[in-house]
Amino acid sequence: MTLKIKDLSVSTKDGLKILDNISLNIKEGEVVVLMGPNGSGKSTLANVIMGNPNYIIDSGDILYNEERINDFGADERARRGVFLSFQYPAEISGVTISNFLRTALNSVRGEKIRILDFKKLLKEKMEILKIDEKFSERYLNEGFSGGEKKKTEILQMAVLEPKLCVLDETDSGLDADALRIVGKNVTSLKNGKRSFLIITHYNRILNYVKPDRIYVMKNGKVVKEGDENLAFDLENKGYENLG
Amino acid sequence: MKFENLNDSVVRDISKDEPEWFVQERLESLESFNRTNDDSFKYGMTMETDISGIKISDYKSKVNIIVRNKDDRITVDDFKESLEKNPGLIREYFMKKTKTKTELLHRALIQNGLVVYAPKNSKGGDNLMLDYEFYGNSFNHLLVIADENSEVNIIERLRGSGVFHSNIVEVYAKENSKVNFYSLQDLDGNSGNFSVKRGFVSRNAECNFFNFEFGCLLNCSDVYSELDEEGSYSKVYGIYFTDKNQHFNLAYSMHHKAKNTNSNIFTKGVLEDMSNTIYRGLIKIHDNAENSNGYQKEDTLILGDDAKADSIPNLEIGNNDVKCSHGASIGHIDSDKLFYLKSRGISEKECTKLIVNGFLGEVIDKINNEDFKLELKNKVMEKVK
Repeated sequence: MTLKIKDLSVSTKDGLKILDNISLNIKEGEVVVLMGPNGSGKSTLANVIMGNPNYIIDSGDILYNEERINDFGADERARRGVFLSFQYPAEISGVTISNFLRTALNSVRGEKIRILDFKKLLKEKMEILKIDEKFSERYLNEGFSGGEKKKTEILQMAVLEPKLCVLDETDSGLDADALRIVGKNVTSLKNGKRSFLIITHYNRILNYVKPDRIYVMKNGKVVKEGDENLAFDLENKGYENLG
Repeated sequence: MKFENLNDSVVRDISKDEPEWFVQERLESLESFNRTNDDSFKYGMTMETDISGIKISDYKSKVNIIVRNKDDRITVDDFKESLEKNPGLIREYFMKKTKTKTELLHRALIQNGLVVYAPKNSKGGDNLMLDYEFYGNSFNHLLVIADENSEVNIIERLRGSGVFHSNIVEVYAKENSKVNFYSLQDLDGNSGNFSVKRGFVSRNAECNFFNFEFGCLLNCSDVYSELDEEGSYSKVYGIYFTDKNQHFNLAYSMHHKAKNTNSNIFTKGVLEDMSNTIYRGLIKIHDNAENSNGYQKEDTLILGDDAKADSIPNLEIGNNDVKCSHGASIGHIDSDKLFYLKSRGISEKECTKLIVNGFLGEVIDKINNEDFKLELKNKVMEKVK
């Protein structure tokens, strides 16, 4: 799948401009990394790609597989294969992971999966991610630690098998073991067609996932584009001299 | 409320063949009813249940009752038959305390009902299922006596039509007994229902009301537990779900009248469309009820743009050596939660269903009867727009 963001400018509902003329490309099967200091607009961009109604697109286009999705609801985008691993996932009390994910899978696939088939699938994915089986009957994200929430996001990604995976700081707040599991999982989901946009502060996830290209954002703008080496430059020199 | 052509002959007419002592009690109740001022449903400046439009001229009770009792130790008798053949329990327990004008009317005009008796040590039986199908007005009573060391689980379902229903349940939980009373009110959308549930809880006994209110145009529901003796416990778990132009007036209260007593009120409400509700919760600790605990929590989820919920949690504490707390929340569906669920491909309507289901699930999941649980969940899903 492909994603083209063309000259995208975005404001909050209060009229605060937060993304300024962003352009960015993801080709089929690519892993693209988005870096930048806190408050540079990375998370906003991820939310805008997913269709968060708190943000208003002032100008520009989001083209997903050449289709303009600016006005699509989040659910429509998800059914087309867009997935966002949230930085701070919401807690939904009373709704079990199992019930929620089955509803989601049915929506994304457009047909009902048999309960037994679903249970088998969920169990298999949970084993790979080393998530305790009992978790499936817990309420979604309620009382989860930061790491558990991130793993649950990856579990959702593994079950729903999206075509574009946007990971918003999925690596932060993870210990080394969890990071390895998550990193391996992202790698295993690579299939030549599925594309990734990985938002991160650190290089450490790049030990597991090799990026095709790196973009750097600052103050709502894309200020630099480069290859893998850019990440290591940034680690040494910081964001100070950019933009 | 207007009561047309209500006089002694109405009472005489419905009480043919009844023992004279009971007829006299009816007539006395009617007299008190006539002397009593109308019940007030107004609380503060804007909170009011408007009952002025209710006009009643038909006092004949019309209801079919289906009883399913698999436990032969528990007796379930028709109220009128009990009155003729075995009036002991009715004499001893029937409506010993009346508080309101509507209750006095009920006492004068009761025509249908059941007397349930669980003898000493009867434990571990199946649920007693009571299905009421109304096809007119009704004055319907349920008297439950759980004798010492017994355990009773009752599921009642109210369905059908009728402009005016007076439904009163009285539960006496004797020493060491345990009563779980599940009630589903699913009356037609044009009905009016005045329901009262009273629990009288003895030493180390437990009386729990699970109240699920969905139906009616006007629904006034009063659940009242009296913790009469040391070590008694009561909880009220309530769910209500209103839509269209429904109005609910709910009053759930706990009255601690002895020491070492505990209570818990946990209520969840969902409002759609332009429906509106008044919820009043009360924990009252009498001055002799030292070392008692009372908790109440009420959460309301507003889905309808024109819906309105009023919530008044109250504590009246007459003893220093107690623990009490109350909390209430009223809100709409959180937009972050909605976005999160939608981002997984789930349509807004399905998301709302999931959230409502989860919201009410905290109470529904506590029911230990799978069929009834499923029935409630389906009922909830039916009501989500």
